[in-house]
Amino acid sequence: MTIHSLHTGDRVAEDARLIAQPGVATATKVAPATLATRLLADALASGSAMLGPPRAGAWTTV
Amino acid sequence: MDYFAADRAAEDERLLAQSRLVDPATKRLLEAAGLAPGMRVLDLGSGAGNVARLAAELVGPNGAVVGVEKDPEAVELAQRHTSAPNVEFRVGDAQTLYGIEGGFDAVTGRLILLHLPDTVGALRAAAARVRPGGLVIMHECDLGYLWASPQPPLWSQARAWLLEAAEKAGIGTRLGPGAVQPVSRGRAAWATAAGRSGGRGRAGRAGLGLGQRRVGGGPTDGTGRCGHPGGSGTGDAGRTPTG
Repeated sequence: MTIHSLHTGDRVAEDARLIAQPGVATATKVAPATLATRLLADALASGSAMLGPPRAGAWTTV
Repeated sequence: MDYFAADRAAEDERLLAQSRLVDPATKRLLEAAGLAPGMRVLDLGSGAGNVARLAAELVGPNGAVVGVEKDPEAVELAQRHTSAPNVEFRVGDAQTLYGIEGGFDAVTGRLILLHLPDTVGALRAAAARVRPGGLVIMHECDLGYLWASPQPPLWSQARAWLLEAAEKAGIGTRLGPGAVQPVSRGRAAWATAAGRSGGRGRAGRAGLGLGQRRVGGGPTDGTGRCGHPGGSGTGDAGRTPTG
């Protein structure tokens, strides 16, 4: 959970500029410097199960 | 492609960390698809170079891998982290593959299609670089999943921020034929090109129009976040490097 929380938090934090540019949220609101640790605290407090994204692999011959 | 992240060093580290999460599943996919020693491989949206390095392991010293990445800084990062002499990274456009030669035995890509404006066109361009009977292998993800169950408030907020930002940036967030919506053009196109089975089952014959002889695929392990808003390099999937 810790790794996933921190990784997810870092990812969102690093995307803070993307989030801010189209007016989704301000950098102040996202607070990227502390987001990862806040996400972890949030997860621990709730006892939630952290989930990774479904991925699919496919191939073909041409 | 351009990367979302403002902090380049942090983004580079994220790509490398992401590879540690995703590489095992990608390696299994490449093996299952038939990547083998001696093959010459083209990796789309090579990002930090993770998928290219995986492919290089499988093709061995008698094979070769060419990674194509739009971001010169990502190319420099990939070169810095790659010691294998049979791996080459080039600055190029994964959408058009303009200037990239043909005759490859296989094309690979990880978390790259969702970042391309015309996925079917990209797959056709890729297939045109593959010799008859060669492979096109893609590893993609779905951004619409729930990050936690139950989802705590801050996780819900962060997820909503990212999905809205992705939508505004034109990045498709869903995988499969149900993803036919304007913001998901990349994924919808991928679903059309790769099959109609729903994105989590086996990919069916479809859309490349190149007379496929064999198709395969299915779900892979899902851990960590989709990375590139662009790449195999974990290719890796932001402005997104892939791979």
